[in-house]
Order: sequence, then structure tokens, then C-alpha cells
Amino acid sequence: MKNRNFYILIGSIILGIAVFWLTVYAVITLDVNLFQSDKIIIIKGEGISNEYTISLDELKSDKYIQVVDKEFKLVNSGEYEYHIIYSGTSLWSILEVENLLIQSPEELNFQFWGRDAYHSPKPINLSIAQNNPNLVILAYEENGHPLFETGPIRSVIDDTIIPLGEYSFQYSVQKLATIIIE
Amino acid sequence: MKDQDNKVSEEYRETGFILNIKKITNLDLLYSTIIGVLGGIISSLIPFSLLIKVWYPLTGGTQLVSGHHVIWASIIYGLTKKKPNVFLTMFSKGLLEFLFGDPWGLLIIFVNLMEAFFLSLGFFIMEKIGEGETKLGWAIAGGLGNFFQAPFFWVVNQRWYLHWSLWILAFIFAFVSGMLIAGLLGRTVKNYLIKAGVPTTF
Repeated sequence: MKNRNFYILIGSIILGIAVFWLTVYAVITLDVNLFQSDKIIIIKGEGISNEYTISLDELKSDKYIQVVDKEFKLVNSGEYEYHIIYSGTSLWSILEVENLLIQSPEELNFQFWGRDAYHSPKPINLSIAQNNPNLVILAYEENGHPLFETGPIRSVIDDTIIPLGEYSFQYSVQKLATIIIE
Repeated sequence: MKDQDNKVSEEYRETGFILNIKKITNLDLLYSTIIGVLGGIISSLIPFSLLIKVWYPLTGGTQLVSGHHVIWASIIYGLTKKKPNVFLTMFSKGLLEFLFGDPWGLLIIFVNLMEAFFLSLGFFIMEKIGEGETKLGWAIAGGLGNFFQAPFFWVVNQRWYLHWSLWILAFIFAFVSGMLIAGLLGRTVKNYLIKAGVPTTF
């Protein structure tokens, strides 16, 4: 019995150590900033002049195009279709107002990263955001209520403009932290 | 004496329960449906994942509480010791989750039945090696019961683009959660229910 309990203890310790180091490895490899405030979004990458930080309050200001209570169609990888009402700020309007781009949108791609290291599957061409400013948003409200569990900010791209073969739900990154443009 | 025996046999009809035959009794059906419905409501409406999201930073961490989906099946197995009841409970639970508008639709019933299958398999193996009533046996059976939904959902979600370490961590968390919640907590709850006077059917 003593041997059995000893083996269980050793197994538990090995498992704990494996989980700890895998977590550390993931945080370092994926460049997760554990201390970034959830009310801040960082826009960075080789496609913009300077790293730009925007707060939730700034995001909601009239400085940028506000998309209010608009129904978005999202499709997940199981081909289930959702129609959800979001309010948020147009991504393109932020880039345009702050004059962040150093190249034309056709030459640039953007990708969303969440605070939990989840990211959208592929970088998408920025011209999609330019041509559809109201369909690529940084949402802060869902069905009229502030985002709670999945927020305070999440990216939303309507399914009608998503590249063929991609699922719009995978691009709807909850707990949005960073937008990489390059 | 014979008259008395006849009287007793008129009053009481012998059933599988009395005869120690492992058939499903009405009590089994009642337990399975009540616990299944309870599990379905709790699983659908209570966001247990919030318990994890406040302190664990990476995606997949919510698997650490996923064992609560399977605890109902391990409790029912403890009370009845019949594997069909595990399936019945998880079917009731899946049906409730579906009716409450689960994002996965009918697929959620399949997932519940899959969890029931692997939990039953876990208990079957543990009983074969003499660990059917030990904490270790319950932990491993619970871990097996909860583990396979994680790779299933990650594959169905096509999360190929996520880093491999996140995949492994999520799977480890699923197994650990099954061990702790479905296995050990399930066994404790079952023991307290029996101690409190809940009749078993085995």
C-alpha cells in the first residue's frame, strides 16, 4: 500500500511539473503578456509606423466609426450558423484616423490575438477591412450588453466577407489583446 | 406457515431488485432521469469556466472544470452499479443541454454518450484489475470518461493552427479534471448519498 501511494505521489508530481513547464513554455513561445490590461488593445507589426495602444474608452469614442447593434452572421467549423447582434468600433476607421499604415492595405495582412494565446487561424488581407469597414469590428457589446466572459473586447468579422474555406467564428477572437498588421 | 407464505407472495411481487438480478429497476430509471436532468440544467446554465478564466491565462484552461459534466454519470454508477444507467443519465443530460440551446446542437447528445461509454469502459477496466471501489480506480475511470471529449472538440473545432503545447495542456487538464471531479468528487458524493440513506440498487 505504501509503495502504491508513493507511485501515485510521484505520478502526480511529474504531471504537475509537466503542466507548469508546458505553461511557461507556451507563455514564452507565444509571447503572451500576462500583465496586459484587458481594457487595452495593442496594434503592432511591420505594417504600421509605430506600435499603437488603444483603450476601451477611446475605442468607444466618436473619433472612430461606431457600428451599433448590427446583426453579424457567424459560422463555426461545425457549419452551425449564428446571428448575433454586436456593437463595436470599425477596425479600418482606427487605422485610418490614426494614420498607422505605412503601406497600401492590399499589401498588408492582419491577425487577431487574444489574451489567452488563441489567435485567428490566418492573417487576412487588410483590403477586406478597408472595403467593408462596418463588417470588421472590435466589438464591446453583444445583444446590447457589455461583453463579460468573452470580453471586454472581441473581434468580429461577418461571414459574408470571410475568405472561402474559412470559418468566421474562428476569426471572432474573444478577450482580444493584440492586432498584428504586417 | 404455508398460508403466511402465500399471503406474502400475494402482497409482494418479486422483482429483479429482490432477486439480485442486474436488471434496470424503476428506481434506476428514476435516479438516471433525475440526475441526468439535474446535470443537464447545471451544465447548461452555470458558467463553471469562470472559475478558471480569472487565474489561468491560456486557452484550453477551462478543461480544468470540464469534469463536472461527467460527475453525474459517476454518481449514478456508484448508486446503481449498472452501466446502462450511465448511458441513460448522460442521454437525459445531453437531451436537456440540447433543449437549452447548446451551440453544438444534436452533437452534444453524441458527446454525452461518448463520455458515458468511456466512463463505463474505465469502470469496467478498474473492476477487472480490482480497483473498482478504490479512490485510484475511480480517479482513472473518471479521467478516462472525461478525457476524450477534449480531443473530440478540438478536432471538430479544427484548431490545427493553435500551438501544440496548448493542445497537450488542454488534454492533460481534461484528464486531471475527470480524475478530480468526476472520479474523486463523484465517489465522495456517492458515499455521502449512501450514508445519508439514499437506497442503492445493487
